[in-house]
Amino acid sequence: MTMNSDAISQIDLGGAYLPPSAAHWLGTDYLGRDLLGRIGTAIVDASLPVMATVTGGFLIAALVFLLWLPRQFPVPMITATATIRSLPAGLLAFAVLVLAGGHHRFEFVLLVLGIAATAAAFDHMINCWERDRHLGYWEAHHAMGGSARRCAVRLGMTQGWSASALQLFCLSLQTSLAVEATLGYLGLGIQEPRASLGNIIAAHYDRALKGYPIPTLAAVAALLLISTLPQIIAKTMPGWRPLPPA
Amino acid sequence: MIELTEIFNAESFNFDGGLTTALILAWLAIFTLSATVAGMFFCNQASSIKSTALTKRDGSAPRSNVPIIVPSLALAPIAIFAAWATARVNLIFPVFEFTDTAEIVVAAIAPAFLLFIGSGLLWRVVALSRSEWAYWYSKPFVRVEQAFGKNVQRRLAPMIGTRVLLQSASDCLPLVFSELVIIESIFNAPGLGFWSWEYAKTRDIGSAAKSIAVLFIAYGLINLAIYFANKNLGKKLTGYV
Repeated sequence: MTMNSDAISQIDLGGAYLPPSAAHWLGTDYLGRDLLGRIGTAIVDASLPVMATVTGGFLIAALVFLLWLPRQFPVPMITATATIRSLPAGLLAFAVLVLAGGHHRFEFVLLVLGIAATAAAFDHMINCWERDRHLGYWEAHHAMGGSARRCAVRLGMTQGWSASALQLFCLSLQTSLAVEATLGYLGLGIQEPRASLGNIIAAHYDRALKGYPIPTLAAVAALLLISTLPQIIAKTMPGWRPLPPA
Repeated sequence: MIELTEIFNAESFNFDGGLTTALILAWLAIFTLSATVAGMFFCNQASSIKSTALTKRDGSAPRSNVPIIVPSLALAPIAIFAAWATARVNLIFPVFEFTDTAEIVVAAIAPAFLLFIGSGLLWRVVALSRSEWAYWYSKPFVRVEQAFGKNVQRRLAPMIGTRVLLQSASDCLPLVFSELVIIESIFNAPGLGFWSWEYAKTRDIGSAAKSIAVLFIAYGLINLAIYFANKNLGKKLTGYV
């Protein structure tokens, strides 16, 4: 409610479509709001919650995996996570929002993205576990009294699985940010007066086609930057580099 | 929430949308195939250089990396502005009453190409081609055949091409279908994604659900086709190696 009030109070119809100036570095939008500030608000209000959701999904998956571990993973659980992981998250979120009607749209987006991220992380960990648990040094660790959980954390999560998990995390972040912006553009995610990179692009797209592309290009540049950021971070981390020969 | 009867009774479902979507997907398949064929010619040259692919501890071909995904929402507007500003080419879909079929076929190229880049398919095909060549070149049977002066590239190319094609299609298909709605919407291409969005805007939830269901069915069928092709290819490869 406070967020909406703030967004409404920034509206100044007299200052609509002002060109870039010292006061407004990227100019103003169709309701006279500072465009740079609005892009910043979109990143804070829309992109950061998406990042937090994906991170939360991965943490929940790791926690459930470790809690479950000494037992065998049941086939329905493996099938369900693999099926959810294989579904196109964007189309799934779009379908859920269309069928759910007009309420709590952003919450639904976050819910779908969170479930998709959790399923992806869980499926990845199950696959890694099934692949590695019969390795010689894993079995030796177990024979010397190491528990399955400790084995998974020490030999898997913090060593052999970390690079691929990081890659999967970055991929989930990228796709989730793209899905959020896409749904915002389609009018199914975050709605005006709240800001999303998608709804900023949508609001100025017609004007861009008529020869004033600055607001659209600024929002597009922000979307490009925010969606490639996980990839840049991943490449600078040590887990990215290929393993040395044995 | 919507009831099932609402979906089955929906009358305004647009079947022509399926044709437009099929056209875009067909172009996408052509681009993927072309990139794979190009990869066979260019990547096998690069494979003579020692690749980091071969330094993997378990000896398997490298599969994963974070693919370069540029959201179609960012890519498509830039492409439309650039085409208009530089060459006065209008990439928006022609939706007139008597639009020529050839014009529609040509108009589907731009959305398909951006989908090809936006879904990471291009990057995936290139990355897989490089790693597959490097992996198979390191196999002893290839060294033996090379020692006998046989044309290894000619024998490997169809096998590697098929593997790359199936693997990249399997990896990127979810992203393709995720990006399909936005690509059709930005390019005004009246496909299933576009119509489901239009129906959703007019609160015709039954028709929207029907369009989305058809998209999911198409996704499932393509996935099944890839699965069975992979299964058969796996048997052939085992025999070959």
